[in-house]
Amino acid sequence: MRRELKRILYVEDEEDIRMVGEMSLVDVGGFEVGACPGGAEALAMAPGFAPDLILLDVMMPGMNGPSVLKALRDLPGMQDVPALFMTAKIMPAEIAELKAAGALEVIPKPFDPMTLPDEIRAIWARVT
Amino acid sequence: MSVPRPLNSARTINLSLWAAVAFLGLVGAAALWSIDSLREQARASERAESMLEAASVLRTRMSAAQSALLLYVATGDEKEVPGLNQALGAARRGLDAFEITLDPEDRAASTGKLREFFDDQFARMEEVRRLRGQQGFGAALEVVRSDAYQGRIALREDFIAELTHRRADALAGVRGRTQTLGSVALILVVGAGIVASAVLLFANHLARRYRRQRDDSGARLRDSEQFLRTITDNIPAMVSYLDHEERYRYHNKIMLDWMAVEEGDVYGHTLREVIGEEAYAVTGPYIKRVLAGELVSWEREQTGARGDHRDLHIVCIPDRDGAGKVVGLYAFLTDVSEEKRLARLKNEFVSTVSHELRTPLTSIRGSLGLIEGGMAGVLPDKAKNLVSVAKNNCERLIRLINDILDIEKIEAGKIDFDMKPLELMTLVTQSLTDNEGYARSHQCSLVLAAQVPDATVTGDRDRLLQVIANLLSNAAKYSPPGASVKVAVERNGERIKVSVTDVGPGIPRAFRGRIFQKFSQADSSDTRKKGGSGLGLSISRAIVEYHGGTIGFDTVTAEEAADAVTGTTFWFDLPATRVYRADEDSARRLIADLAARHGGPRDVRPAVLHVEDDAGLRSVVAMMLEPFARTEAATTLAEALAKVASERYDLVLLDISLPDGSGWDLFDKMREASQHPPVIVFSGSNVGHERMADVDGALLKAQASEDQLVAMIRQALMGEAPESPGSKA
Repeated sequence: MRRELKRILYVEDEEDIRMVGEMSLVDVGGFEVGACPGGAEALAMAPGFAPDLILLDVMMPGMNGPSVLKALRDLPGMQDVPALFMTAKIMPAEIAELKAAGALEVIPKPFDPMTLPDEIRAIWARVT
Repeated sequence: MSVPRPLNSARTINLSLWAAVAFLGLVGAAALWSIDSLREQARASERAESMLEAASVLRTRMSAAQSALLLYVATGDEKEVPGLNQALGAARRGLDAFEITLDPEDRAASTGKLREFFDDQFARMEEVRRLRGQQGFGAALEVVRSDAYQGRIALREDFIAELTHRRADALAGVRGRTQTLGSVALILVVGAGIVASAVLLFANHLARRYRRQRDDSGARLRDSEQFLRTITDNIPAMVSYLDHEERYRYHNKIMLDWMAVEEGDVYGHTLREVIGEEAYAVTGPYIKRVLAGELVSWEREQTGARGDHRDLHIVCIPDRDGAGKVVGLYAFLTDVSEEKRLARLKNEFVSTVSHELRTPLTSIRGSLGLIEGGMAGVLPDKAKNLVSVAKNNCERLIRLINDILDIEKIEAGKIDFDMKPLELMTLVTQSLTDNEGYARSHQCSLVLAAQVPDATVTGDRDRLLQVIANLLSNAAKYSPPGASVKVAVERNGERIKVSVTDVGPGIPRAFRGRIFQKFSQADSSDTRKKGGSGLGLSISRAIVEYHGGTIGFDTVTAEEAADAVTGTTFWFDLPATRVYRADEDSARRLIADLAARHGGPRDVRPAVLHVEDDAGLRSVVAMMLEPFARTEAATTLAEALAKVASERYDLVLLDISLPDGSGWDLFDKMREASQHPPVIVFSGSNVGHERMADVDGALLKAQASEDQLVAMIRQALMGEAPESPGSKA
């Protein structure tokens, strides 16, 4: 039976974007969202939060998106959690790179907060 | 400076000399003729003199004989008889001698007459002697004194005189002719001398002028060589020439400075010796390609011996002899350090700015979206309108940034085009669907007016969609409400043309020339009114041209329209890709055809010639193709040329960089020989877009997957349908 998408771990260093994203995911999408400003916080939150899906910004100070994902994968129970990147870099070569780093899909920035939840649900439906 | 009129020197000088030789020949003939005549005259004179002498002797002896006869007649003394007989004998011998000296004509004239005459004389003298002896003095004297006797003597004298006169006259005639001839010969010789001198002087003049001109052009050549050397020494670029052994045969001065080498360290030395092993490891392969006949350009960084750093742009052009064989190469190196630095700065700036702009825009766009969507509560209508305006303009700003990034990347050659065979109709219909909403927002509709069902092109799906979308959105923007935008796909020979026609106001004449320039819109207020960045057409043109296509437009404004119908058609065309469209049936037909062609139940799989010097890759490809094709390998250009000359192949899989030349040489030779099997380039470097249209496909060794290669080969051999744009993974 198809599992429902409920909890999303959302990592974004820009506070404003994080707020908009969170609002979109929570208020428009009705998800439960664990929003983190960086990799360290995400690694701390992930085990307790047990997300169904990970949504990561790419360019972040300190650990960038792919490094955060790599670190998350090393945590127990996080190996198979689907992950998505959000980035303003949308060249085909860069998308290919991110997919190679373990992302299911790459969502271009700027995103439309009113349609973002639907977009994520569509991807979820495809992979489960 | 006055320049002597150029002359066809050698020809003129030759003509002059031939004329002189002909004239001298003529004069020589005349002189020979004159000498011959003079010799004849000399002989005639000699003969005449001996005749006159003989005549004189004969006359004297006749007189002596007459005197002896008269003495005998007077004395009657028998002692006088022997003297008389002796005188008569001498006279007879004188007659014989005289006769010998006569010319044949004189002899003919006097035949018989002379002898008869003298015989008669001698007979009369004998008669006188007999009469004196027998009848005495009186009878003899009577005969001697008779008129007949005396008359005969006078006649004899006249006869001799006549002969001698005739001879003298003839001699005078010969002398006269000889004199005339001599005069003519003299005139000829003097004339010939003058003419020959004139001709020789003229030839000498021409020769001197010729030499002067040659000296002048030699001097001019030296001047121009010096001039060229000054130019090459002073241009801010390194210019050199390498022969086929990669030895420097020419270099300008700046090279010594840039490479920190001495004059003697370059000329005649090999490239490897001059630039060192490390640099040669990078440069060598490029040079091999140039010597194989390819024009190659690349860039490299160079740190000179003095530690100075340079970015060099290098262009190498093969130098071919008359037979087309590469005998060396010209190398032009320019210092692009400053351009590189500026480009790096600009790229960093653009990248930073665009990222920095996108970050706040993401927040703004997101916030506005949420407010507009009612996430912050229900807004009054006025506030909702204002938020909508803010959101639309925010999106416009995002598009603008995307366009700027696009054009920067295209111009910097940073976009990797993912070139694949594409069904153009699928692309166009998808584009129509994608842009329907946009057209509706401008109250117009999109109509597909003409299509070509089997139009296949090789291109980057996303980029071509971008071009069509750009043309469609422009057309929609400029269409009056309620109008329809017509899209047509047509085949034009080997090219496929896509056109988008609107019934808008047309493009003002003044703007037509710069419509494809960056940031151009018909009038600056348009940018705000129509909401474009002014970069769309510029980007579209760059994309179309990368695909080997052309882009253009036809437009009619209200001022030009005779029937009040205005509008614009934007079009672009792309080279059509040949596709062997087929199904199982045609694959079977192909095999059957091949069986018939080879005339037997042998291996009838299609024959693929794989031109590749890497043994490993050759065997991998052969294995991959094994199920459906027979592979033959050629490891060098020479081997490949020999193979295509002796056998027919159904496909050629071609590496470009071969040990003994360029794969393109094989391609060109095959086309020259009217051999047109499909050619797929499978090489280590990109096929320039200018050659993309020539071949049936191209894959990069490092990037292409086995599946892609097999699919491309199967498609070319059996016409299996290309990947349709919609089915992109």
